[in-house]
Amino acid sequence: MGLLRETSARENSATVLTVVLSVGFVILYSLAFPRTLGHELFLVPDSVASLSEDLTSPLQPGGRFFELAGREGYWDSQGRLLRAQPQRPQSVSSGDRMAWYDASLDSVTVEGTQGVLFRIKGQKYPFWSGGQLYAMDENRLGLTAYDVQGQLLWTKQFSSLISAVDSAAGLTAVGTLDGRVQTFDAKGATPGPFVPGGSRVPVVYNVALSHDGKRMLVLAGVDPKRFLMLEKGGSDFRPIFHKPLSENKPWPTWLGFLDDSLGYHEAEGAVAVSKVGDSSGETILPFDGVLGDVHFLTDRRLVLLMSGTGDRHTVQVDSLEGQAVLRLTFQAKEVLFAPTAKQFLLGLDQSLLTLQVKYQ
Amino acid sequence: MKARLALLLLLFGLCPLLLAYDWPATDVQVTRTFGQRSVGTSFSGIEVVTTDSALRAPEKGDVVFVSRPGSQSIQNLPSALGGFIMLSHEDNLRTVVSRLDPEVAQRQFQRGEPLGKVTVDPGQAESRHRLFVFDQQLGEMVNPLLVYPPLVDKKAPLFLDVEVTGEADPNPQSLFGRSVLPVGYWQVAIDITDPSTLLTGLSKEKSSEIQRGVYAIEAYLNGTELFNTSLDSLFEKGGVWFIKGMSQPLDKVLVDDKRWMLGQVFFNEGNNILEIVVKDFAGNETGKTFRVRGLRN
Repeated sequence: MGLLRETSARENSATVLTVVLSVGFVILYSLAFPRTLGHELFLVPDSVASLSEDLTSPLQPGGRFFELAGREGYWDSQGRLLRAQPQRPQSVSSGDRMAWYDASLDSVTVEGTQGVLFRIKGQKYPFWSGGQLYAMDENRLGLTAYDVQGQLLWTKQFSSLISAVDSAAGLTAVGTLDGRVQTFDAKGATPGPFVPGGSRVPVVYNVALSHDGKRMLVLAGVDPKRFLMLEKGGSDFRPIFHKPLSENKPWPTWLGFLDDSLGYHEAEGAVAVSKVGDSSGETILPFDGVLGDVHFLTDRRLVLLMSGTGDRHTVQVDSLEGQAVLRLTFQAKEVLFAPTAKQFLLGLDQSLLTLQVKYQ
Repeated sequence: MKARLALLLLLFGLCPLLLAYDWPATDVQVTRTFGQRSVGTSFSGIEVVTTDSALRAPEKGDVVFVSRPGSQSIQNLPSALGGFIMLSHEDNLRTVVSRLDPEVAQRQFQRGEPLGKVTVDPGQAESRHRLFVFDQQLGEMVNPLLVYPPLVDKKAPLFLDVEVTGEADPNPQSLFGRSVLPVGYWQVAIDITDPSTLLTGLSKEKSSEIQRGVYAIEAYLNGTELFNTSLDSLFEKGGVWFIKGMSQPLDKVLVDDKRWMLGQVFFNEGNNILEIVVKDFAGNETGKTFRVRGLRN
C-alpha cells in the first residue's frame, strides 16, 4: 500500500511538471509564433437544376446571366434557374446584363431582366470588363467603349493587337502586344502609354486596375516575364514595385486585386497574394492544374480559387495567411463558379448547383 | 564583264526571294489585301486561303503571344482571329498567323516548323487565315506582301468611277460622263478595285471572282502631283490609323469599301488634264486621263 502511495505521488509530480511544461510551451509558442486560428466552413447542398432543358420564366432583378457549355441562362439572387437556352452568337454577360450578336440586325443586342435595353449597330464582338461594355474590332486592333445606355464613349485604333483590357472607376487600361499599356478616361483621353522595360521581348500579357482606379498591376515581357505594380500620380501611372517571374506562359495569366490593398498574380502552380506597396512578402496559394477563376470574400477575408484540367476541377478556399480551409473536387469539363458570402453557385457542364455556405 | 553583270542582275533579282519569309502554307491565295476596306472596316493585314492542314513558321522566331479561344484563360477577348501565334523575329519584325489550334509548349520556332493545325469552317475545303506583320522598332503595321514571297497576279486594277464634287454643286459628277465643269474647287474621289480569280476546292477545280484592294495610287493635275501614296505601312496616332507619309487619317482617305478621296483640285478656265494611275501589289497598273474643260459661269 505504501509502495502504491509512493508511486502515486511520483505520478502526480510528473503530471504537474507535464502540465506546467505544456502551458509554458503554449504561451511561448503563442508569443513567438502567433497564428490566426483556422476558419471552419461547410457547404450545404441547397438545390440542383438541369441546364439541358430550355426554360423561360420571368426574370427577377438582382440575379445574374451566365454562359456555360454551349448554353446560357439566368440565376436569380437565390440561385434559382429562371432561364436556360442555347448560347447565342458572341453572348457574354455581366451581372444582370447580357450582350450578344444578332446577325439578322447586324447589331450587338444588350438585354436586362426586363428585355432588350439597347442595340449597337455594326458591332460584332462585345465583351464586358468591370461592368463596362466594349466592342472589339474583329482583328483586336480597335476598341470601342459604351456607357450603360449604349451611347458611344470613345473608339480607338491601336498599332498592335490588344492583349488585355480592364476597367474600374471610369478608367480603361489596355495592354497591347507591342509592350505598351494605355489608360483612357470616360472621354477617351489618354496621358500617353506606359512601356514596361526590363525584358528582352516587350509585350503586355495582362493589366488589372484597382477598384478605386488608383493602382494598376501589369504582367509584361518575355525573358523575363515581369510583374509590375503601378500607382497613379497626376494623370499617369508610375511603377512602385516590379519583379521578374519564373513563370513564362506566353498568354494572359491571372492578375488582379482582391481589394484595393491586396493584389495577386499567377505564379508557377500557385497564386501569389501581396499587399499593395509592400514588397516584403507574399502569400503563396498552390493550386492543381490550370487556374480558372479567382474570387475574394471580403468580409470573411477568404480567397476562392477554381482550377483543374480535363474533366477534374477543384474549388478551394484559403485564408489570406495561406491556410487551406476547404477543398471541393468534382468531375466536369466546363465549370462556372459564382460565389457569394452566403452561397456558392456552381455550374458543372449541364448541372447547376446551389450550395449554402455555413461558417463556424 | 558580261558574266559579272549577269550574275549581279541574277542576285539582284533573287534578293526579294532570299530576304522573304516563307508563306505559312504552300498553296496560299490572297483574298483580302493590306489596307482594304470591307463592310466599313479597314484591314491592316492580309487574308489568305489554303488547303494545308497545318500552318508553319514563316521565319525563325521567339513566341511572343499565343491566343487559345475556348480555354479558361483570363482575357479571352473576342475577335475573328480565333487561335493565333505572334512570333518575334531577329529583324525586329513580328508576324501573326491566325485561325489555328496553336502549339502551346514551344517558346521558339524554326523556319518551317508547324505552328499548329488549321481551323476549318464547317463544309469548307479551304481554311481562311489572317496574317499580320508588325515593325516593333518603328511601331508600324507593315504590308505582309512586302515580307512574303511574290504571288502571281495578272489582272490589273479596275476603275469603277471617278467623281468630282464641287463647292457650288454637292451632287457628285462622274468624269466618265462629263468633261465640262464650272471653274472652281472640286473634290476628287475614285472608286477602284483589283479583280482577281480565286481557285477553290482541294484540286482547285472551282473558281470565283473576288475584289481586292489596290496597292498604290498617283494622281496629277496639269502635271502637278495631287495624290501619291502606296500602302506599305500604317501607323497609329491619337487612336486613329494613318498611311505612312500621309497627314490625313486612313478613314478620311479610304472612305468607303472601294472609294478613295484624292483631295481638292482647282479646275481653271480652259483645259485641265487629270491623270490617275492605280497599281496592285504585283505591279499591274491602270491609268486614266481626263480632259476637263473649265467654264466660267
